[in-house]
Formats: sequence, structure tokens, C-alpha cells
Amino acid sequence: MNNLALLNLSFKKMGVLFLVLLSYALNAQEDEEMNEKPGYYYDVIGQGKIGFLVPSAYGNNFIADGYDTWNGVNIEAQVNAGERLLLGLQFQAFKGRVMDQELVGPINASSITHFFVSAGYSLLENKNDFQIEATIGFGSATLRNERDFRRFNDTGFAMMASLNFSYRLNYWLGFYIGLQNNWDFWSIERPSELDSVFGNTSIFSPSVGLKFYVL
Amino acid sequence: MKKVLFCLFVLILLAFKCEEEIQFQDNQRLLLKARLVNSEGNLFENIPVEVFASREYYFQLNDQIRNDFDEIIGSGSSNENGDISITALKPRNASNIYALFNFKGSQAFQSEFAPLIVNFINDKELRNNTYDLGTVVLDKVQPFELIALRKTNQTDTLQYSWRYNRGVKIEGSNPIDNYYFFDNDVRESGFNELLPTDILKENTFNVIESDTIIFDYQLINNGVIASEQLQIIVNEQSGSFEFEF
Repeated sequence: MNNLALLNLSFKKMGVLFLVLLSYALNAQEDEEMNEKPGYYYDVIGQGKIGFLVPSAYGNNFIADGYDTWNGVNIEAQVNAGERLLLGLQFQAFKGRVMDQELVGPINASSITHFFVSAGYSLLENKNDFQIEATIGFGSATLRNERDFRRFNDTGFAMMASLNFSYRLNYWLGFYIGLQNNWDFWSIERPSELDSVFGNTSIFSPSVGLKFYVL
Repeated sequence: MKKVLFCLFVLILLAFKCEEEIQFQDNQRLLLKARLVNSEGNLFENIPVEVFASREYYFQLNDQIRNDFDEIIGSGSSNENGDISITALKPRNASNIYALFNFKGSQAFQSEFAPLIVNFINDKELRNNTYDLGTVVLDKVQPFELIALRKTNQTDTLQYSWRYNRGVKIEGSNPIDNYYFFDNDVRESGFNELLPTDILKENTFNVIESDTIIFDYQLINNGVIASEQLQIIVNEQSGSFEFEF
């Protein structure tokens, strides 16, 4: 079984886990509504997110034109640094199969990962169950390229901006939908003719998943 | 203890294996550029090109051996202007980077033109991460007639043989100074003789238009009385060479 198949299988497992957690959370919410505990909104120290990533590269560049990208994973952790300010770390990973080796080079597939340091701002007061957060961040992008059993990397600087919509179901759990765009500035040494292809890439990477609250 | 020794053995094997294989450099891409024309200056469209990196100094003509030892680092084909622009990975430990033009086995292979190998591209100047091969000429494969004709000598037997490149052109190399010419994958040869009762013998075979045919003959009459090696430059003949004696 190849890596892509394994990755796909792990997504299925994650989907089952997601449904189980969601079901548990909804049950818990019903219990809490019966025993109201006002004020818990203000006790959140931080929050975490884990979700499905559905990346889509666009523009005229080697990822958009040369890869068939697969779904991935989005993981975030944030701490409340003020009433509405959130500071955090974010990790995104997905895999892409090379469809145009003439453009990209003779690579079978690549794992594409992003690591960001981020700052977010809650657009709504944090006493609401429904939240909207705007986040920006910077960090690194890495392509782990596979050619048969050999690997080599391409790296670069990355920036992101996102808008996250979330709904809190109970004390510790909610769900979110994130709309994010990543801009990657690759450090690949290349002929100037390939600057437009290998210089920058843009990836729209929305994600949906669970949000955990640390009280 | 046995497990430790076994692990060490595997690690050593892996280390040797890794050393043999071509490795690629991080954060590097190369560009290989060329313009493909025929000997009359006409441009070629859709000619397949593969670029290989090898740990050896000499490439392998045998496809299977080549795939075992050499690594493809880029591929593409010429556009409507005959231009080739191939993005390639940059090998870390290659002794030879070479390109195959119009190679056999490809769907776009054009059998009327000889496959061409450009060797030691890594010895050329790398400017702006680009190897520019300039104009590359693909040679036509054409029929060639070799004629032995008895005119004045009515007593001796003529034995003659010829050798030529089977159909692969190696840029900058003629059979006479070509290392690969000694390889049976490249070389083709023939033999014939003219007995005193024979007047004429003809042989026709396909040659590369820019090639050289090596022609060896000897005259025999109770032993060898004369022998010589001739170099027949195909371009200087008009599709045939006549040996008269």
C-alpha cells in the first residue's frame, strides 16, 4: 500500500473519530443546557483545532500546474493573549502527486507542509458561542520530494491569512470552518526563466474540523 | 549480539547502496536548453528528450542497464519552434550528465532520424543554472550502397568487410575515435568476397548521414597480397561507394 493510500485511509479513520466526538459533544451540550453554568466563556486559556484540509493551489506555478493535491490535515494551538487577541502555532500538511514531470521534474510525489506562527483577533465578543477570528501568520513551507526511495527538500518562507468561523458546543468542544490562503516564497535556486514558475505559489487551504477549548 | 551484527550489516549495505545511487540537491533546479534542427536547418517539433545523470563516466546504451545505474533527471520534447527547455533536478554525485534525443521506445520516436546522445553536459558551462546546448542537429538515417567491382584484376579474390554505427549518433564522435563503437550495441558490420569468377557485388544498409564507414579489404592469391583500411565519409558520397580493382 503506498503512502497516498495510507494517508487516504487515515482520513477515513479521522472522519469516524470526528463523528464520534461530535455525537459525544452534542450529548454533552444537552446535559449542560439542563445545568446552566454561566461564565465559562471567560475562562478559556487557549484553544486548539484539528481538521481536514482541502488545499487548492492556484495561479501559474509549479504546484498549481504540476500537482494533483490531496486532502490533508490542519492542526492549530492558540493562547488568549488579551481579551480578543490569540497567539498561536499552526501546522498544515498535505500530499501531492506530480502530474506534469516535464514542468516539476521527475518526482513521483511531494509532501507539502506549512508551519506558521500566528496572531488572531476575535471579531465578536468572546461570550458568544459563535465566533469569527481573523488571523495572519508567517513561517516556513517545505516540499519533501520523493523520487523512488530517494528524498530531497525544497524550502521557503510562507505567509498566511485566514478567517475562521467556529461554534462552541460545550465547555471544551466546538467545530470550526477555516478559510485560509498561504503564500509561499520558495528558496529554490533556479534559472531566471523559471522564476515565475518556481518563485512563488499560492494555496487556498480551507479546513473544517473540531475546536477544543482549554479552560 | 547476532541482532546487532545483523543491523550493522544492513546499515553497511544501505550505506553502499546510497553511495551508488544518484542523490539530488535540495532547493535546486536546472534548465537544459537546445534547438533541434536537421542537417538542412529545418526545425523539429515534438522530438522526445531525456536527461540522465550517471555515477559512471560512460553512459550505458543498454536500456535495462542504464535504468539500473543511471537516473533520469528531466524529460520533455521540442516545441513547434524546435526549442527544448527541460526542467531537471540537480544531481549531487553525478560523473556524467547526458541527454538522449529522439530515443527509441518513445511514441514520438522518428525512425528516419538517428537517436542522438550528447555526453558530458556537466562539463559545459553552467550559467544561470542553465546548460545551453545551442543548436543540436539530428541526422537522417539513409540507405547506402557498397559496391565491389572487378575491372582490371582478373586473378585475385577480394575479401572485404565494413563497420558503421548501427543507428545511434554520439555527438562529436566518429566510429574511428568513438569508445562506444567497440560496443556491439552500437556497431554494425558486414562481410563479403569477390571470387575471380565474380564481377560485381552490392550491399545496401542504412547509415547515419554524417557518419563514417570503416572499410577493410584484402586481395588474396595464394596468401594476402594487399590489404588496406579505408574511411568512407557518408556525406562525401552520393548514397553509394564503389570499390574498383
